[in-house]
Amino acid sequence: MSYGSSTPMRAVLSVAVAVLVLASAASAQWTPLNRGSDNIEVLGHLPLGPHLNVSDIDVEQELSRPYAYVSRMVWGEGGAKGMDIISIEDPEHPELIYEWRIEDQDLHTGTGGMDVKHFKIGDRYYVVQSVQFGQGGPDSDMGAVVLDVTGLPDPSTVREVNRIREPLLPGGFHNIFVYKHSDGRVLLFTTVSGPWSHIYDLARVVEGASAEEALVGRVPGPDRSGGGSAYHDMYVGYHPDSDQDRFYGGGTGGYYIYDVTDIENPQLAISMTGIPGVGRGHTFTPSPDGRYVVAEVEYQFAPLRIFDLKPALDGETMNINRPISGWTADYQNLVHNHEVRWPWVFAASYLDGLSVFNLQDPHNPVTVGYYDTYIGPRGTRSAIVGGAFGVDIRNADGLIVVSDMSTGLWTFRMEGFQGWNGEQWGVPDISSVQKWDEPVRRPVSEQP
Amino acid sequence: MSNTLTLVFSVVAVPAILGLVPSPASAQWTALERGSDNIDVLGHLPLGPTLSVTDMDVEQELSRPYAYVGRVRLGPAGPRGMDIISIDDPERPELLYEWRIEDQELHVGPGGMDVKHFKVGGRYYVVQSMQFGQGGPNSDLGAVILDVTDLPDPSSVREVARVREPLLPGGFHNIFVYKHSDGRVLLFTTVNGAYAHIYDLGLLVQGASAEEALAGRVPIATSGDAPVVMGYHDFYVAYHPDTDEDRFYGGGGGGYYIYDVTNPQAPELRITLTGISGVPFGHTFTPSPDGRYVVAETEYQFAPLRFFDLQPALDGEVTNIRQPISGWTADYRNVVHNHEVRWPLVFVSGYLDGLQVVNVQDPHDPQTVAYYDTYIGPRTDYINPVFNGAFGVDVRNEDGLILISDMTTGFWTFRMDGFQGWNGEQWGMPDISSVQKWDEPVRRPIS
Repeated sequence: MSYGSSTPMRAVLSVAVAVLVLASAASAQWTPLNRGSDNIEVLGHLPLGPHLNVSDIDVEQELSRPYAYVSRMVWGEGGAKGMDIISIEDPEHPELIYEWRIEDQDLHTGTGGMDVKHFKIGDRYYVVQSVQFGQGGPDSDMGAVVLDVTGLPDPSTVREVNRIREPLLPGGFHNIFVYKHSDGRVLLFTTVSGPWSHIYDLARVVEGASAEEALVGRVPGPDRSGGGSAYHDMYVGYHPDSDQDRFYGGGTGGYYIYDVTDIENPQLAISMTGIPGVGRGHTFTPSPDGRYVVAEVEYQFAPLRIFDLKPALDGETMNINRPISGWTADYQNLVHNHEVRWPWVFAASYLDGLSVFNLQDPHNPVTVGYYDTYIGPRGTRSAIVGGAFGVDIRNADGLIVVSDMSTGLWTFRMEGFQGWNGEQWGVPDISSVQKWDEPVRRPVSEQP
Repeated sequence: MSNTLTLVFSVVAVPAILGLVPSPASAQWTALERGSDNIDVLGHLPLGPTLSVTDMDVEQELSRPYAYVGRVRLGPAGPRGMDIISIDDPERPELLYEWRIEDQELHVGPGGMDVKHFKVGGRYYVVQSMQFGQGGPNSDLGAVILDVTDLPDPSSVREVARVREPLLPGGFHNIFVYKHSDGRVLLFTTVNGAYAHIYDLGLLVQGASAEEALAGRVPIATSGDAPVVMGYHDFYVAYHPDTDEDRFYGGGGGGYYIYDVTNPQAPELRITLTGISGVPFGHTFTPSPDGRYVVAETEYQFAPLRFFDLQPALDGEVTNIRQPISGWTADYRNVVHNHEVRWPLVFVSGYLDGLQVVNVQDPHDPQTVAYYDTYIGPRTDYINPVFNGAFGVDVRNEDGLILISDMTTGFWTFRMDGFQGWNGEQWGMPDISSVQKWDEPVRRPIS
């Protein structure tokens, strides 16, 4: 056999290359040199500071208000505690335009800024930043800060309008959700260090009301004999089939769905407990029609589980405990927050970065796009918590934004995804996005 | 071989053999390509209806080529008992003998679950664990023992004992036979209670009752004041050279527990593995030959095998370990089941994913090195859909024969390229595995 281009040699090399390519393709798909799938385009990237100093993200939905809000928490050895406001007027060049920071940074213990959501009341725009501070320093009673951001992009117009404090439930709010209720009010749902989720009327909050004055309801949670929060995370959405506002909460024991149409009197509709491998639910999001749910639990090796609620919606059972499928980016790691834009689910997959999977067949989720925003080492505090923490979608144009704990803010586009409206997919146009200026309405199929 | 070919083999073949090529994240096998190139299917013996096969055990002496397979009714049909299969020619396994519980149709519950062979006083036996429900006979029956000394003559097989526990109805789900350092051959069993039972098999084969043969109980540790609501699901027992102790490794309510059972009448808790995220109930649990690492299963869809390093506990720094150092699964959408450790290889019966072989030479980074899917049928709804396919696995150390019992497709024999047997000392480890050395005293490793 001669060296070089002989046919047998080419055959051997072809096999060799094929073996290596197939092997690598079947494992985690990304490499440092090839971090994403061909259908994901990186538009912009804005590093924000120290390692492990970023948490969740929220993006405004109106194209005329191109702002993203990024929480700043200290999970590593240092960094800022607060929130950043970033202009994405040019998504290819995101620009930091404002930093809100808790005063006396070094006196505060705990992580700082966790979850963040924008909202609109009247003609004014606001952002609410959840915070968590420990009892070894100031503000352990503080759950959130609300800023008026109507005058953006002028940073000098940003002003703090209120702080929500719960002295009897110290530890702050780990997660929050803003929901425009069918009664017209804009409500803030929060985790608290207690056996409920709190509901605040944000209109009262921005008028300066105290937390006690603005508290309009509590969603009961499972008993938590050891203290701490009953819920870890929640989502609230209108459920067209029952004409109810529904709360989807993950927490002790699993997941819980409440009818919160009457927010002073929430009614348990469905529970999901006794699920093997789910001791404490985390992020929990329904499909637009409320039939399927995507359920996270927060430990290494745990996939997102997909459940079909139909037996419970049909009244055949009150409890669902068997998933119909599961999905993960890499079973050695863990996926975190997610946004459902049916049939897609956009996931902030911690060490695996941005992941997009398709749920057109809910029994068989399929990965359809990815980009690894973090290719650094595993952390020492937790081997799996690091990388992409939060994700959001701008429905009007399909812009994808990711907040990475260490590498900062990223903006993406996915081929063929130029925006999302549920009705184009035969489902109600319902997602985490709130329609501030429209009344809640029925899906197309039920309109006269 | 030319220099170029040598280079190609260095780049591709060697890493592939050593498992250094990244392992697949999802199922590799197809209906037409069911196995990796390094696995040879030697023989296959279908055994009957779907979901009618459970665990298996193989004798270790080449002169006694017999495998034992538990038989259950988990689907619509199937016998309750145990099959004895000759593997004199591993390419043509032959059904030699069928032990069946009498009055099959009167019995409720699955039937034969776990099975182990043993040798006492120059005679060979097999003990088959049983589980029957209370709506029929024998709900108090935990195991049956057969004398199989004179195989392959099936007419010589005779039943010598039934182990009954009337106060703990429900039978024995899993069992383990261990030759203790005190010389006795002991049967460890799960029971319907918050402990494992230990029976002296020497007494049982002489006709002693369960009460007379009960030599000890291994408790299950509580967590603080929390009541124990579940006992053990499975366990393994082995000599631990560094401490000169017989150690029990049990999975059950709350996680995993390691006890010193040198004195079976007074087990002492050594290490707990509780508070592990995603592990409310431990299942199969097997240490490395030196007792430093453990492979831990928990039984639900999506759960991988978890690997733990016990060194901090062995060093006395902590008594509880809860953070795995790694995990492995064949396909994260399924669940893998029983396993046999032949360090650095772990042989796994991966339910819907068939036989799997994992290399844990780097325990922080387990690598799939071989596989063969013994079940390519549909998921079923008789029981949890992920519970079908390869249930049990065993390895004959003498020659490296690999055996699988598949719940639906029956009995399989395999060889893996380059695996011609196992002796721990060849790998720098104590020669300790699930295989018992009936005729040798327990001994220290070469080192």
